[in-house]
Amino acid sequence: MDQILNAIKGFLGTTGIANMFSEDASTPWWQYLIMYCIIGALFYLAIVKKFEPLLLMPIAFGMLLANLPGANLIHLEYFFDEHYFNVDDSQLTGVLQSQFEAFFSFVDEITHNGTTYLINFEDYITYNVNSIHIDVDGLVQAYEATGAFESSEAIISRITTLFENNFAHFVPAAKFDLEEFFKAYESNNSVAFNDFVHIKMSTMIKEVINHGGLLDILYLGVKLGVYPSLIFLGVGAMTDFSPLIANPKSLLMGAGAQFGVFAAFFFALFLGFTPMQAGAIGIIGGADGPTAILVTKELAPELLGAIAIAAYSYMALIPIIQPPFMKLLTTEKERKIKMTNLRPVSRIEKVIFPIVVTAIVCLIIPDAAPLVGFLMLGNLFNVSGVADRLSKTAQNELINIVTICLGVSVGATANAGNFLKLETLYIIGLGLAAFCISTVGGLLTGKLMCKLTGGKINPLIGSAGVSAVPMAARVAQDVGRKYDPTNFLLMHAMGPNVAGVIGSAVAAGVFLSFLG
Amino acid sequence: MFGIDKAQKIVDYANFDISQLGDAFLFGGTMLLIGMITIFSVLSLLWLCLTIFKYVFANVGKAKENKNAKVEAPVAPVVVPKKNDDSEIVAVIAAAIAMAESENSDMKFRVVSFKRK
Repeated sequence: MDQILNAIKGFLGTTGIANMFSEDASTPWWQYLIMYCIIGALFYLAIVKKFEPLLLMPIAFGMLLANLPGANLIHLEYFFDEHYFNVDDSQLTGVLQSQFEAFFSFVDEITHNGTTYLINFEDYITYNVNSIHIDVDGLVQAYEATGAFESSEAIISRITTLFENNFAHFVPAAKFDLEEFFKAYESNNSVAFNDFVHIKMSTMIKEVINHGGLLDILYLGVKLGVYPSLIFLGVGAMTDFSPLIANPKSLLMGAGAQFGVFAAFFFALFLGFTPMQAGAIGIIGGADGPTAILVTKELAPELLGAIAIAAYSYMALIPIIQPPFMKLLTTEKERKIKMTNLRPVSRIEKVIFPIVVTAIVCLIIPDAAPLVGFLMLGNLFNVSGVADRLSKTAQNELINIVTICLGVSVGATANAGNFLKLETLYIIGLGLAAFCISTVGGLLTGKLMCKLTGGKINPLIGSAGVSAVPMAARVAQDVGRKYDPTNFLLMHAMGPNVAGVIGSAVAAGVFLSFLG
Repeated sequence: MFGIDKAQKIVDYANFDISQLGDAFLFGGTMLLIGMITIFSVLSLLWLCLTIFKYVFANVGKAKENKNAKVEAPVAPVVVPKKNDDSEIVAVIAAAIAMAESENSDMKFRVVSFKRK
């Protein structure tokens, strides 16, 4: 009898409810309850209100899965930078130790005036109990003694190159932050080598394969930046860029509507976020989910859950957020402006457009290539007329599968411990500010263009420059029709709308290249 | 002593102490300015290209049309005018579909009147 009771007691001890109320639990029970309320609200928005249900529903479900005590479905510690292991003696074992030793015993051969000098790195690297030190000055003097170098800068350049070329070769699992190492050396004149060595990616993948589950594997697609590009492939295949090609002026409205991105970045800095976190928060103003995810996973992966949820929620709330600004910043006369029909666009223009855009944008901002490149590839599938099967797959099966994987794995990053922080409230506030300022930026650019063209452009279409295809264009159409039921702005608004997609991808590239 | 420029960033935030209000303002302002200038420059360049597109491909189209017209002219000297213009039927069907679809979507259409030409 006792055995049966013990078995039942043991089973009850493993349930999620027991885990939730356990004294050893890392997350207090009330935090789970708050998370369940938030998840319930997201389900309500997705299912009842039909706000972006295709993404909010998987995100909410991913959050639910991540907040089941004891289930441990996702292991974020495998992925985040701060969980990379610093190398210390205890970890210098096995293959890794032999790789490090091979690197330390590297011998550089310098031949000058017919004499060959051998500089053995091992002579200048010493181990102690806790760390590995490099005698940088000794190493520099050894190089100077060869007489082969004109200046100490040339010597440092040689050492830097050797480190860069050989370190990765000897220790492929590790990342050595050389720049930071030398900066620290300059200020302290002594520095621990192992503070700047991190075991990277290969360890992460090893951990996922050895100990991870489905959500860990799905999250690899986010971590490696696979999903946002594939989603953009589908978006490109579904998007008709003809309104933009017919009216290229609308590109400027797409650019003006990125103002909120940088304004939110600016405000986030004042709230104490790091520049990288501020960049990830700012990109919410680009109103583009995949772009926000790509930038965040690169710059501030610890904020991914909050930023993705804020971005998709605000995109869904565009019909509520934008109209007050549209009414505030335009006169009734401007709202009633009817725009002339767009010129027809030839097939050859449609085909050349994605190629030219990719070449121009990616040559100027290579960091935008994963987004712009795939967006335009998807579009080329569609407009070329010779790859119907690929186009259909990109805009149906592929994007649907990726959406499920992306939504669930992004939602799963929002566990109670990670999500219930003051900074999440800041992110939600800053995200809203970013959306509003982007809308204002687009509208003001639209107003300016209206004035410059002598009233030929309805400034309402400027608000569509915030991306969020095609929701923002529909809002412009709806507001325009309220004031004149015969006014049809949808196609005109699609120009700035798709320009906004390109604009937000460029903004993402700017952040990645400046902060990444 | 160590001149390591390789990984130097265009706007290196290591040069700013963003915990200081003045530096944060300066860094945020610099990024805002550079970011917006970059976006406007790239998209303006695309605007320029698309404007060139318009003239280049309009001429290509016209040249094609002229070529076709030259070839076709002797073959089809008599042009039979179309008695039935389908555009009205297309418009009516499109309006009906739009109305039917509008019941299930955000787009609300209402056919106000039909006029016969």
